[in-house]
Amino acid sequence: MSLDSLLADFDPACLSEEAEALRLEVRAFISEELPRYSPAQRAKSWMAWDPDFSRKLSARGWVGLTIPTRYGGGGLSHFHRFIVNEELLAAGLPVGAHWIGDRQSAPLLIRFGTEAQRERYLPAIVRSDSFFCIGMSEPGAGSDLAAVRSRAQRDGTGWRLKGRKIWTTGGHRADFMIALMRTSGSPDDRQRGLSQFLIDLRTPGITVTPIRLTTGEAEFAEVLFEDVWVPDEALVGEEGNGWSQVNAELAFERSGPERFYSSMPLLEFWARSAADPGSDLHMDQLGRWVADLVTLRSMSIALTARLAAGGSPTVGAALVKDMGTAFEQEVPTRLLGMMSGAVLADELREALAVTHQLAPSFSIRGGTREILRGTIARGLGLR
Amino acid sequence: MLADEFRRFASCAGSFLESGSALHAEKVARLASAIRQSGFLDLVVPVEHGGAGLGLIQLHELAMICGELLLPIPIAETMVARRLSTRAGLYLPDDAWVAIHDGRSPVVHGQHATHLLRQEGDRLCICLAEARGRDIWRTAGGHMPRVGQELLSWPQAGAQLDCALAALASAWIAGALRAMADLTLTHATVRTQFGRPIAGFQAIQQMLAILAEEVAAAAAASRIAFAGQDFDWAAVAVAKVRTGKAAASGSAVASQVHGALALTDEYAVGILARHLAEWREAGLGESHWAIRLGSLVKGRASSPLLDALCALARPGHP
Repeated sequence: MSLDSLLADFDPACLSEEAEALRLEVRAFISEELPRYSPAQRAKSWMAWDPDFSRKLSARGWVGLTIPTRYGGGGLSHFHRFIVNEELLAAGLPVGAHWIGDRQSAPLLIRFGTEAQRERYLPAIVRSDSFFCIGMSEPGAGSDLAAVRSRAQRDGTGWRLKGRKIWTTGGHRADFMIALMRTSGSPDDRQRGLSQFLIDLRTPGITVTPIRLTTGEAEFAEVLFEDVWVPDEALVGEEGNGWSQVNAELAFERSGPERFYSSMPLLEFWARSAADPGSDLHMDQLGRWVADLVTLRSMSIALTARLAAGGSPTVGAALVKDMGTAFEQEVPTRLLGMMSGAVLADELREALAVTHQLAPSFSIRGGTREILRGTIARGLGLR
Repeated sequence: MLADEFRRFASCAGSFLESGSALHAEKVARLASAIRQSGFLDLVVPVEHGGAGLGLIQLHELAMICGELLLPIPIAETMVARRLSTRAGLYLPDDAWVAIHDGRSPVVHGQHATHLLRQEGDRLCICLAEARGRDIWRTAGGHMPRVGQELLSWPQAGAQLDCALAALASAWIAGALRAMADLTLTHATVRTQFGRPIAGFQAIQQMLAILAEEVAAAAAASRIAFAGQDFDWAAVAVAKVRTGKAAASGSAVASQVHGALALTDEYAVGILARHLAEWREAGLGESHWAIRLGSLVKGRASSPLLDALCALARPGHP
């Protein structure tokens, strides 16, 4: 690869007019829902878990928009999904429950799953009956994902799982996990010998422990597998193909608007705050952030078009995520410094406190900043 | 392709990424004559006035190439001047090279301009460039040139010449950053320290990743300024603010990776950096545009912030 091919990930694209037609409908729904949520709740963005809200979206057909209609999905384009999601994220509505399944697990099953898996799980994702989490990180395998030690061994007509996953977002609330496990060799074999399993988290032998964060709440969990038996049907895709399947997820995981809208509710409160007189200093900062956002958004739309065309712009996605999360982190950090002296609503202060405490996670979850830059460097042919 | 064809004409006089080449009279004359004969100057002139009738979005691609190759004559500006004057039924002299003089920032390509495009209230005018002014950034630009006799003038309701200059500057920045990244990537793979190419060190790779990000962001941002039928000031503001940021952080990485080499007059990275600095200043700096943009968004208090983002990405659409 080279700079040329990296830039080709960003060939300009627009959201289709047909998809744009959906925006007003979503907007009307949002304005009905919004009064139910406090600024602090909205500031949690896609970390907020609310099954009832997810089911309301499902009732309108807005979960699983890109899933084929034969599995109950919307059969619509990635542009439709982009529009619905950016509206929900910008408003700060609680999309966390269905987020992972809709974004990542469903496309994975469509691409690598068996027909039986698709028929069983996709309709449940669409209806928000089943929520998913991703089992990747382990105590000894964070950025170095190929070091996973959790093991799956053949046992009769199924597999026996032993090991431990950690920092699993929503792990204590989800119904299912798609986990990366070692099925052969040792951690020294690195990327070889890994496979993915779809695991019902109610299976005996699984212990889930929520991890309390500095915010006082638990957003992720540790998941312990002690002699857990799962049937053959739990294997997703090919045995030993786990690494490349996980990589195929990355473009979905890293290219979307959730990588630059996490601070959007906070930014909105601040921009609309009546207490702020609109000084040049503040307008300068607001203008710079708007310029950042418009640019990031156009780049994310370009990647969405690549995904829609069946591509997998992994390097471009790493680039948008790295820039997007840097932006998301800058908002609460700068705002805190700009607050002094101003009379601000308690609500805004609460939203700032939430965003500020979650902000360090932005450049860790879904691939650390350093890993993303390594991916870009590889894309540039440097490694 | 249009861009490839333009690049062919633009390259016929050789490279302008060499010290002193921007003022090399013979080289500049060869470039000027090639571009004039290419027909590209009427690219965005309406068809009914004898032009190719293409839109700003095509101009964007060519303006980026002007920046990437550091072409020292006002090519993109002359295209804009021809578009605006012919729309008013007026025609520029065939051999006019028109730079944009907003009265507040450096006249880019000023040393090779025969004419200046200026705005006075709701009128645009073409004047002779009498004295070219000082070339402060050593880019063949002109600081505070003396404006000569007025040749043409026409009413232009809502004229926003500052937008045209800022939009072009954003495209030049995007192009030059691209050139800077190419040089820097090559240097990092050739330069050896501690027994291996410096591109093999993670610290350097992380920096080069940032440079690639800024190149991609600058191209995307500057394109937004050219997405409408005409330059829309808020879209231009997005482009100028974001490309200015890209120029600053991109230049910093390129200089750091090159080490002292970046400071020499013989090497293109320093020359590109001077141009990037001039273009951040041209059409006014980031703060000017950011304050306007911030105030616009702040003023639309009744609609969500997202509305402003969507509208800015599609200038000219309701």
